[in-house]
Amino acid sequence: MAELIRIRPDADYISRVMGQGGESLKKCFQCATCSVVCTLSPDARPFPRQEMIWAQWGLKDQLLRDPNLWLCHQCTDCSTYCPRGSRPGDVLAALRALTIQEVSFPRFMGRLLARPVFLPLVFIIPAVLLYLTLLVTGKPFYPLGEVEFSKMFSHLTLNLFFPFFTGLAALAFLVGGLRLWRNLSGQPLRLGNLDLGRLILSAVEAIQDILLHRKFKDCGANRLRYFAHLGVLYGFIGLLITTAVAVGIIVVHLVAPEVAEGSFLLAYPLPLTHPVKIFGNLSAAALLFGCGLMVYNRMTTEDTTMKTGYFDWFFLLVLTTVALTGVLAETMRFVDAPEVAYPVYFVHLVTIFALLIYSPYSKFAHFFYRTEAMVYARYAEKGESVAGEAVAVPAS
Amino acid sequence: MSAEQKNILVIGGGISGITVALEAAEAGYEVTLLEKSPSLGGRVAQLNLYFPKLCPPFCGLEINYRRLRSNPKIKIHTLAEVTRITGEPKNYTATVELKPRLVNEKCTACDACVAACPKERPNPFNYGLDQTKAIYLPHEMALPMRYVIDSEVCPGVSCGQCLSACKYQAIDLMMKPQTIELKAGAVVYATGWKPYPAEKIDNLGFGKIPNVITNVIMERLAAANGPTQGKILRPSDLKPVSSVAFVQCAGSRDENHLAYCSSVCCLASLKQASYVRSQYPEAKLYMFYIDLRALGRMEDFLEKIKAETGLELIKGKVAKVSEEAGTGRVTVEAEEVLAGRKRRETVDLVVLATGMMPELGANPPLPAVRDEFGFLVARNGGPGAAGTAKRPADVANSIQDATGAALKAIQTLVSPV
Repeated sequence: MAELIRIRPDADYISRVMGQGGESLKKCFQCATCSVVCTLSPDARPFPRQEMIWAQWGLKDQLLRDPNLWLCHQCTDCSTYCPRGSRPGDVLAALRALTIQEVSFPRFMGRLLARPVFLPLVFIIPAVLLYLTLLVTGKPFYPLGEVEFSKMFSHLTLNLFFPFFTGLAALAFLVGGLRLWRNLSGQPLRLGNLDLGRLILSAVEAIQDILLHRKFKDCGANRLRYFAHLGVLYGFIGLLITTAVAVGIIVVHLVAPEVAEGSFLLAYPLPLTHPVKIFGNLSAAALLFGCGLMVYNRMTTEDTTMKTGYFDWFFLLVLTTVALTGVLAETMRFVDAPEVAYPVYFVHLVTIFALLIYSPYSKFAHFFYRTEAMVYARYAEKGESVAGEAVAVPAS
Repeated sequence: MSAEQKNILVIGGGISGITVALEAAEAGYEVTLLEKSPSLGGRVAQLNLYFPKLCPPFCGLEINYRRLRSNPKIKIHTLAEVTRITGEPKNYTATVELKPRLVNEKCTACDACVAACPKERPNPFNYGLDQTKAIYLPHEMALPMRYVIDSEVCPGVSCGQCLSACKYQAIDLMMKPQTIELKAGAVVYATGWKPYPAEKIDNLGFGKIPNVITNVIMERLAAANGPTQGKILRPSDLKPVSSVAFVQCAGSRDENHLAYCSSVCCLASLKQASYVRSQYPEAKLYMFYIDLRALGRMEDFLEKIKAETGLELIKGKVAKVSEEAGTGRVTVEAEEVLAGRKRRETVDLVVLATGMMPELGANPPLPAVRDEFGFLVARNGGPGAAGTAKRPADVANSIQDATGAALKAIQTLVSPV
């Protein structure tokens, strides 16, 4: 006898998907063109046709445990060929955004970042915090003399301020990551249940895919995004490395100033010819190039194949502002224009703060959650083939 | 006051136009039937069999032709294109361009000219699958049963080899185009349909992969008077087929192409599955669909074809088509929706079920109300419309619609207002 399955539609979830940029959802008539034209869709469990009907029916639980959402790289092949204009690419983007909200810790932060009404608040919080820091440390907004940003925020201040909030973000990611794993696998993550060898192998493969942008390269309809995302990812990673090295040099100055004395490589601020400075500037250029391409791409595909909502714009524009203000502050420092340099630097810090502290709730979170889901998908697939072989032996 | 006209002008000599003309004439009204091409018959003459009865279109056409020939109230102009119609209901004036046939009424269709003619042209009746000479018979069921010369291909009097081959002085290479004016009290568009250009569907391979054909081409391959004498062979090497995949909604129900359902393609593909089965008892047959649209009594036809042909019906639209290297075989790919996994089949022949679009261009000779897809909407006080000029339809429905359009045209003539 056929098993009786009770379907529990979540009507609220349907409207949330539609409100998050998936408003074309209901146009889908399940022809499955999307699953075929998608170059990333696997043979055994193709997407996004299945996800479209789950979303139409409000099967939230089904969607939360679906790693396919994260295998989609939104190349928009599906939306281009969709015969109904139901834009599966946009729907999957909306489902990812909702998944980030669902696993958010604390949960209200997810909702805060999803709604444009809170946008002023979102920037007022870091601006006030940073301004208070200035007041508390007794530093001026416009220090006198040659432009030197440490006259505004001392290294020690920043080295206490940012790691603290990075720690908070990391904690949020940890909880969110555990929640995502529980959703995907249907059970809480316990080290005892894990096949560590398989996990490491899956992680190595997934990270290779990400670093080489293999999946993006496979996407057909929107080649521009491959280069744009490549620029942003590597620019961002490059700037992280540069920052880490710069912080390291600052720590040397604070802890053992005699070691840094007279050393070119340990000089601070880093001279323009310093290899790490060159690397950092190149990274900033890559980030700016990628962001610019993305902004252009999103503006030109808005009506045709790809919808860009608040969730996308928030992350993209914050990231772009970080890059722009960073480069501008640096330039203003070199040309010694304090009246521009300090306010720009302040804005730079505010946007970095926004990027950092909101990272577990903004689109930034895909950096971690997509990686996790890609690792999980490989891990689960390998597990299935192991189980499959085990079954096949007694059968033969 | 201008005199009220008591005749009907029917534009288009396919099955709908013929029906409008016959129904009105047999009710006692004068009718002028205009056809753009050299022969009546339209798209129906290109079909192999009708569904659901699986009978050839010739019987119906033959009966209608006899009714046309025996009715003195019907005037027929072929090679006639209406360029402009002015006036209003009860009093229209149409300007009609008559292209020269270059063959007169003395032609007996003896075929002697064809052997003499040195020039060839692709045969549009067979969708370019074969060639005819510059002088040719439009098709076996031509009316008038008279040859015609393609003046774009024929070098004219400088060649003139057909002139000496014709024993009946039926060829007149000096024949000139003519413009005539016709009066009419009512105008009916029966301008029909044309197949959607399948090469526009860039993921389905038509025009790039030789063994991907369309449903209308399949009709010609299966027809005894077609380019292969009715043998279904794959175009790349004219070899028999061992497997065929029918791809439904090739361009139909698709906002990027035709947003509407063309309504006949499911049934046409079912019919064509029976063509293949009758020639190849062992062939594998697949039909990929979004929804099977076999309405009303057509459901019985679906069940019958399923039982008789063993056609495998797969829910899921084919969205990728590729040619297998070296073999000429073609791989189609779909998501098998009911199983939730991808399905690929490599077959000898892929038949795209391309849809129907209106033949009537954007600027018709007499302005008429059109829907968003260009199909005509018949309104009181405007020109009438019949058959597939109004909507995608099968032959039976087109004929019924044409009968209604004949009555509407008569009402236009006799109504007191």
